[in-house]
This record gives sequence, C-alpha cells and structure tokens, in this order.
Amino acid sequence: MHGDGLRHAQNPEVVARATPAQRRIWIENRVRQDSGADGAGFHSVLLLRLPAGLSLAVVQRALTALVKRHEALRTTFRFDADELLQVVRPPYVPELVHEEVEGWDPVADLLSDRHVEYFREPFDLEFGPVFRARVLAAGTGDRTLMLVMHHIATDGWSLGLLHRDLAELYRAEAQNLAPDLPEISLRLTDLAERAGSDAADAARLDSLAHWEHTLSGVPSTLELPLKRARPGVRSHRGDRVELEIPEPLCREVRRVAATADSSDFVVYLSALQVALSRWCGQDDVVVGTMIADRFEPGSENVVGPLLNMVPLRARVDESASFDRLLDLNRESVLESLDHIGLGFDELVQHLVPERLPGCGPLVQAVFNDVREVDSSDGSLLGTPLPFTYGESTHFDFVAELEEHSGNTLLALSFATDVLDAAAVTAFGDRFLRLLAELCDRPDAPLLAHPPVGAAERAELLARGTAAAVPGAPGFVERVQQTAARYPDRPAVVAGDETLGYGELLDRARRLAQVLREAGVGPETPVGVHLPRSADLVVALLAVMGAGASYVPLAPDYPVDRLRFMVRDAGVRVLITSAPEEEGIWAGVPTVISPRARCSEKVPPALDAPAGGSVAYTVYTSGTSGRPKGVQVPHSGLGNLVDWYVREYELTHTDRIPQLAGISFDAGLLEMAPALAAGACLTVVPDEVRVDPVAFCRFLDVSGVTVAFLVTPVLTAVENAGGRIPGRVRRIQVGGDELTAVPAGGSYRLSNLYGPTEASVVSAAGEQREGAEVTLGGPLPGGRLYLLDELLRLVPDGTPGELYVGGAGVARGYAGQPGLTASRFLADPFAGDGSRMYRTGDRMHWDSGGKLVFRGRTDAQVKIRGFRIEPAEVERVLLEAKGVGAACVVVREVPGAGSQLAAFLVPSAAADGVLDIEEIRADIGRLLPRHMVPSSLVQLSGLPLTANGKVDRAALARREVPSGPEAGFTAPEGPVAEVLAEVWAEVLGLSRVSAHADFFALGGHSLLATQVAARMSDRLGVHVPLSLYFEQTVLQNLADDIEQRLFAAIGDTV
Amino acid sequence: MTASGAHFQVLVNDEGQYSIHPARLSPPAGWRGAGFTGTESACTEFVDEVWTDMRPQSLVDQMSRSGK
Repeated sequence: MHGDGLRHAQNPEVVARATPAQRRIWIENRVRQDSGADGAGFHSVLLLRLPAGLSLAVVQRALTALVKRHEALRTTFRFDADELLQVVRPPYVPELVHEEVEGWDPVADLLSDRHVEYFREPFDLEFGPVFRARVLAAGTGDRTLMLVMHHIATDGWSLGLLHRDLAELYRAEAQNLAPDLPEISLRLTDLAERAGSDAADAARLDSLAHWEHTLSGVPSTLELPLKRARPGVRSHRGDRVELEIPEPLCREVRRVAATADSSDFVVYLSALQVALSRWCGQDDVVVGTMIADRFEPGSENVVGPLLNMVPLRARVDESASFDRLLDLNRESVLESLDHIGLGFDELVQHLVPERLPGCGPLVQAVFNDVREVDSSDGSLLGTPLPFTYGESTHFDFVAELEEHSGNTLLALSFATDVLDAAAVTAFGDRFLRLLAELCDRPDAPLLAHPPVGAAERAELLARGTAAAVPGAPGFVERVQQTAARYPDRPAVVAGDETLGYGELLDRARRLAQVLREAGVGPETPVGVHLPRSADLVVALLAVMGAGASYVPLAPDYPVDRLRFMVRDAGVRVLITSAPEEEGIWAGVPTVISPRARCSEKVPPALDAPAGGSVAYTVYTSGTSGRPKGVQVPHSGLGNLVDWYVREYELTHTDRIPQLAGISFDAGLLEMAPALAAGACLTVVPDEVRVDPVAFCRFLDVSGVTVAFLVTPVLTAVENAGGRIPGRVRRIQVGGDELTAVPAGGSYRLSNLYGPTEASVVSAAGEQREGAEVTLGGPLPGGRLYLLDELLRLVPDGTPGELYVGGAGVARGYAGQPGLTASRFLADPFAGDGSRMYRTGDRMHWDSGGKLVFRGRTDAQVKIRGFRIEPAEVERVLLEAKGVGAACVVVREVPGAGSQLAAFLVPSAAADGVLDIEEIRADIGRLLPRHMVPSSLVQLSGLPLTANGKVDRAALARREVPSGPEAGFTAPEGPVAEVLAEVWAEVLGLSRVSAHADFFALGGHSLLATQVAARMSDRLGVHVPLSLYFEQTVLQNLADDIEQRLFAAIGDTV
Repeated sequence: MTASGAHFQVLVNDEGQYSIHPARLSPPAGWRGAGFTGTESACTEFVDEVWTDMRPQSLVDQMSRSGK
C-alpha cells in the first residue's frame, strides 16, 4: 500500500486473548464494514503542526521509538479456534513519508483534502499496520505531522500519551539522551490474561449482580422522538452538530460541581439526562458513557483501548432539585467505576437478551467527555490541531464534550436513520438553556425549569392557535338566511321525499312554536327520537330554533340506554314518531310528533339562541361505564359550521350524503354545514349504508359532491374495491384513526380529529397520497397544546397529550360537575380564565407543523414490562401483505398474563385470504418480539360500535386460537435448516425452533460472528455480519439471507 | 389513585366554572383557588357539591336580563 508495512525484527510475536474492549471494537468494526458504513468512523488521529526547524530525521527516529514503546501500535488481530487473539508484532521501523500537497494554502484552509484522504485510508486489523504517520507539507513550508490509528489501538487518553511521549522522544533523540518517560509496567496482554482468572470471574459475578440491581425494570428503550421509523438494519450513517458552551457557563458548571462535591462531568451528565427525559417524555433514562478503565497502577501510561461503556440510569423526579440529581449521579458514577471491569457486551448479553431490530441494546444515547486529557501546552511539537470528520455512529444519539484551544464544545452526533439535524440542533439549544437555568438555581425543583424556552414556547403556541373568525352568525340564523335565499332548492332528499328549504323552515317554525307552548326555552333539553329522515332535520332545527337543546335518542339504541339518557339529561319534552313505545317514555310528560300542529300564531322567525346556551347534549361512553352527556354550546356549533362551510367550499350546488345516526356527533357534522350552505342532504338508506359497493353506486346516482365519512367506512370502501365516483370532489374522514391515504382517489381527502367535548372537530388537515397521515392543525378560534403531566408544553417533536382550548370547548358533562372539573382544566396559556379539554390522545408535531396521532394515553399497555402502543403494532400490520384493516387489543389470558391479539381483515387485493404465517414473519422483521401479537386472527370485518368506531372491547373478549410460541416450530426452507444447524452447533443445543431468538438463547456478539463465518462457508455467499445482529429470530434471519442469495444469483445470471 | 402523594387543588374562574389543577402549580391567569386541596377524588366530590349550576355566569346574567 503505502510502504510502511511491518518490518519484522528478530523478536518473536506475542499472542494472547484479546481484551474485552478490543473484542468489542473488533466486532463493531466488522459489523460496520459489512453494512457498508464508512470505516473511517473508527479512525483516530493526532494532528500536529510541526514548528519550523524541526528535523524530520529526528521525528522519524522518535516515531520508531514510539512504536517500540507502545505495543498497541503494532498489535494485530486474528480469529482462531473460536477466540479473538491479539498478536503483538515485533518493533519495526515505520516509514515516514514527506508529501507535498499541491495547492494547499494553510492560511486559507487549516487542512487540505489530502489530510482527509490520508485519514480515511483503511486499516487491515489482521495484517496491520494499525498505525501510520505522514508529513503533509504545503508549498509555503508549513508542515503537519499526521498520526492515524485504528480505534482498536487507542482511546482519548492514549492520544494525549502519544503526544507527550512523541515530544519527549523527539527531545531525547535530538539531544542524544535517554528519554525521561515513565516505565511501561503493564501490557494489554497482561490485562487480557488477567480477565480470565478466578478472581476476575468472582468480580464479574459481583458486577453482574450490581448491574442487574441497578437496571432492574429499566425501560427497554430511550424513546427519542424519531424522525423516521427505524430501518430493520442500521446504516450507521451519522451527522453531527456542534454547540459552543460559553466560558461563563463552563465556569458556572464548575462552580456548581465544586459546591456539590462532584465533577463538572456529573453536572453535564445530569443536565443532559433532564433534557433527554423531557425530549423523550420519559422519567427513567439510561445514558451510556465511555469510561477509561485506568485504575490499575501503571495503566495510566498504557496506549490502547481502555474504555468501557457504562450505562448510567437516572430517574428524573421533577419535584426534586437538580442538587438531588447531582448527588444521585455522583453516587452512581462512583459505583459504576467499581464495576467497570465487566465488558458492556457481557452486561447486555446477561441482562438484555431481547433486541429491537435496528436499535442497539440498552443504550441509545451516549455522553462522553473527550476533552484533551493532556493538552501539552508548550510542547516541543505544538498543540494538536482539531480534526473533524463525517460521523458514523453506532448509537442513535451521542453527545461529546470537547475542548479546542480553550473553547468547550458539545458535539451532538446522531444516526441519520432516525434523527435529523434540525431536531438535534433544537435539542442542543434546549440543553444549553436548561444547563444555565439548572446551574443558576440548582436547589429549585426541576419542574421550575420549563422544558422549552421562550422562543420555542411562542412557536409552539402559534402553531397550535388559529385566530377566530369574528362575527360568524349562529347556526340557526344561517339556516334562516339560506332558506330565505333558496326557498325552492331541496334541503333534504330521503327516498321519494324531497323537502325544500322554504318548507323546511316553515315546518321548523311551526314545530318550534309547539315546543314553546309546551314550555320549552333556552336550556331546556328536548329528546329527539327519530330515524335519519326529513323529519329529523325539521326537529333538530325546531328545537334549536326554540332556543332549546336537543338530546339525540337514536331509535336503534337499546331501550335501557335510551331510558338512562332520558333520565340523566332530565328530558321532559320528547319528539318521536313512535309515541306508542311507552315503556321508554314513561315519566316524560310531553311527547310530541314531528308533524304536530300548533294552536297559536307562528312567529315569523326562529329564535337566535345565545352563544353560551346549550345546542345539544350527546352521550359518549365513559371509562367508568356510565355514559356521559356532553353539553355543547351554540358558540361551539356556530364556529364549527362556519369553518366547515368555508374550508370545504360548500355551496347551494353541493349534494351531501347523510349516513351517521344522530347519536354520534358526526351526524351533526353532515347535517349542520350542509343546511347552513344551502346544500342538499341526501339520506342514505340503511341497506346501502352497510354495503360498500352499493354505497359507491348510491354516491354516483345521487350526485354527491362532498361527503363526511367515518374513517372505517372509507376503509371498508377501499377494501371492497369500491370506487368513489369522480364527481365527489372532497371527502372528510374522522372518528377513527386514518392509517393510510387511499391510492388513486380523484377527490381531495381531509382528516378530521376531535372529541365530542370540543365541538366535534378540533384539528383538520388535507392529506396527500404517499405522505404520512396527519391530523393537520387547529380550527379558527381553536387552541391546541401538547402537554406533559405537569401541563407544560413538550419540546417540538416530542409526543405529548393533546389539550384543546378555545372556541370549541364544551360546557361539560350534564349533571356531573366533578367529572367536568377533572377533564376540563384551567388553560395555563390563554390567560383569560378559559378552559381546555384533556383529550387523552398522545400526539406529536411533525416537521411540517402538523399533528400526528400516536395513540391513546390510556391504551398504552405493558406486556412483560415493555410499553406498547397497540396503534403502532396496527400500523405495521397494515403494511403487511394483503391486510386491509387491523385492530390490536390486549387480552388477559388466564395463566399467561396479558397478551396481544391482532384481528385482520383482508384487503380487496388479497381476495379474502391472508397468509397469517407470512404476515407473522413480515412483522417479526419490523417489530421486537414483545410487540408481535401472540395471535393473529382473520376476520371478514371488524365489529363496530353503534357510533361507527371499532369495537375493541368486543374483540378483547373474543376467543382466539392460542399462539405458536409455546412449542417447537420446525424451521422452513433450506437456508433456515442450515442456519438452525449452525445455531445449534455454536450454542450447544440439540435443535432450534423457527421462532427462537439468537440472543435469548444465550448467543452473543462473538458467537454471531462465528455463525456468520460458518454460514458464509456453507452457503458460499457473503452475508453481511450486521444482519446477524439486526435479525435475531431464526426464521426471519433465514428468510432475509435467502432473499440475498436469490438476489446474488440474479446478479450473476 | 394515580401517583402517590398526587395533590390537587380546586380552582374557579369568573364564569363560576370549576377546575381541578395540580396543587404544585399556581393558578393560571383568570383563575383563583376555591379553597380546597386534596386527592383528585376528594376534589371531584367537593366540586360536585359546590358547582350546582353549570351554566356560565355570563349566560345566567343574560337569561335573567331577558327574563327567561
């Protein structure tokens, strides 16, 4: 290559086992190389600007002495008999090449491209060298000396040693004296041998016990707000952003550290843990740190990788002070030093057998202190120059404390697979602000320091707020105006019956008068018990036009439920076309027919209800089992209607289907805006409503232009292969989670979100095919906040619970003031004494400033200690072949605890058949084992509640066949059989099941490299080693290998 | 209950609407303490007793002016 190969002297090689750190780096290096990641991410450099007048001949002699002094610079690695060996080669004379770099002007550019090129040249760990040196000179005479070595030979401390030693060796060579350097009394080979002793075994067990105790119940991952879903196999590509920590702040940090009798490292670490806790929405965080294992006498002079990863866990208690956290961390750092001898690999292997695909085990975030250990100011060879190189990272997130010419930097590297620079930069800003605040008041409870700063807070509030439209007329007034303008246009078409706007208003005025005569007025609840029909529309308008509120009593509801609602809402007046059902209406004094005639003169206009008075009371299921009557005021309804008409550009020429029953507030969403705009409502017959294909035909025949559909209806249409007619220009969906935007629609699709408690719709946004589904942003007059448990805004991108304030907030739950007070909270941001509704939905803002639904706060389940969001599993299932709809529920299985069960409906393309085993294998590639449902059950359709939502409770009660996990499943296919054989060999087992997990069976990283080697031998094809780490379930791994085999064959044919 | 030692306070605004708030947070602008602190369920019970008319005060005033 470049001439400085190892020149052997007479000394023999020394062969010993590799140290745990060498082993870890060797494996990581292999994994990265195999995954095609940039190997230079594992290179280290010592870069010196050589003072003028230095002799290169002396430098060359000093380098020779340096290589002689430090064995790590001439140690290579060999894999032999299941063991990684370090081979210490004899001292040699490294060739120093002096190279003139053309066109490099050191005044303009500190370094040239050639420096980067030299840095990147690969190392061969088996044949060496693992170290090289070169002088790169500019035409101006400026010279730099560049020492590049592989991580396996060095660490941060070692670079300082090399610098010190080289300078001293130069001095000694120049003056022909003996160098004044401490004797090397410890060798890496000694350390490796010692690791195998009985004493070391006892210490290892002690350390395992320590970590087991310390990490007990730790969350499986740090939930960084990922920008993209994890790929099954990591690319190891990284990027980095740098923040300067201003000197005054560094001083503050040192002051706080001194007061707390701790180091500044612990202060930075603790602040980082608090910042991460808030970024991840998690109060239990693990941050890994590389600690130099240099406690043994003599080790301070050894060049070599003496670093070990230590997981530092912190429970971030917001009511405790920063001082308290500093105390805890000081203790835990000290304790961890006692157990640093246990390699991180071994720790993980014993304590964290389960791996998440595409994610390193236990530690996702790292904090390292890599400030120069020995700055050697005034050294003969000058101070090292900074050298930065494109990142490649093994972790999701790495924060490194660096020091360059007196400036302290925090370098934040991140895996570009899952994070982006904007998010990391924002985190860095937050961290710096928080660090300053924490140092300013370390005795205050953490909660006194908000998770976001003033600028981010203003940005988040602006994003969640939309200005109200002033002077929007109320719903009743709008319908009156419309009716006056278009008296002859059809308002409602139901079967053969058509009701014009003039007639609608006329009938509503008369029925309103009947109600007034029955004593009905503002705040009077009037029961409306009518099927979807023209009569229903008349009745609703009449009730509101009498200033009163309606209570929907859907005829298809169970009698008991209707009785409950009548009693609970205090209904004294009822409109029904079935007055004979006295069993239900017993106790209701006034029962009125929708066609009743009044005795007195009818006033010319309907009443304009006060904005604060109740428009309707809709009952929703309560978690306690008792339905809750949500009272929505006219102001909320008016705001909703005004927005909807404007947003979807409804006019008198539109035709809108009426599908939903009135017991669901979606029914109102269809009717109210249509009537306000003068559009024609077409009532969809019951038999059409349940048949997706017939429904599409109906839309076509009745000339529908705009439709609101509950989400499962659109999904059902898609799955049945139905085609939405071209005349439909817009569709709004809502009421359940939209998981994907249907392909090829000719209409514009909007996703609406909102709880009944916030006037039906709180957020809405148009969806684009192929883009991630969002819930859009706020409605005019609305305020949306994502908050943590202390009602604080969460950082941008972090999931928080959605609270809805502003125009849509309902009055509360009828007759339940206590419950109302606990769900409708004082709005901390509005400043006007208004309230906000706590939705119980978790969301985050995406990078485009739109809301993305994450799941219910109360639907989060724990399976074997892992936090699982069923919605997340559902999303993955929907990606699997042939799946049109999916619902995941938790079932309590006697004797087996909680289990996940998935219910799947085939898509139209699947032709009614799902390959359950294939789906299981598919999702096994994307989900960790604990998230793969124990049972996957095919259904022809998902059961729906009366309100059109998926009936999860019914699914949870369903009998399902038990999962295959219990027994042995034979691996399928030739590759799987070979793989099972190899696993059995290296793990010492008689047989291996198709669903077995390599690491759960006791496999570890080194064994994985052996499996990879044996598989390559037997299959004759190279399979990247990384695959063996990312796909840990036998059948999945085998299938992946098989695919690569086919691809390889395809390439050669 | 929820977290151990979770304490709440009852707040009230000018519309006479009540709300239950974490006790360690000060009342937001437009709200004042209603004179009760305790567990969430105790606060709920308290509100059930004192909040007898759930109409906002502005509506109550408006309705009494129009004589209805």
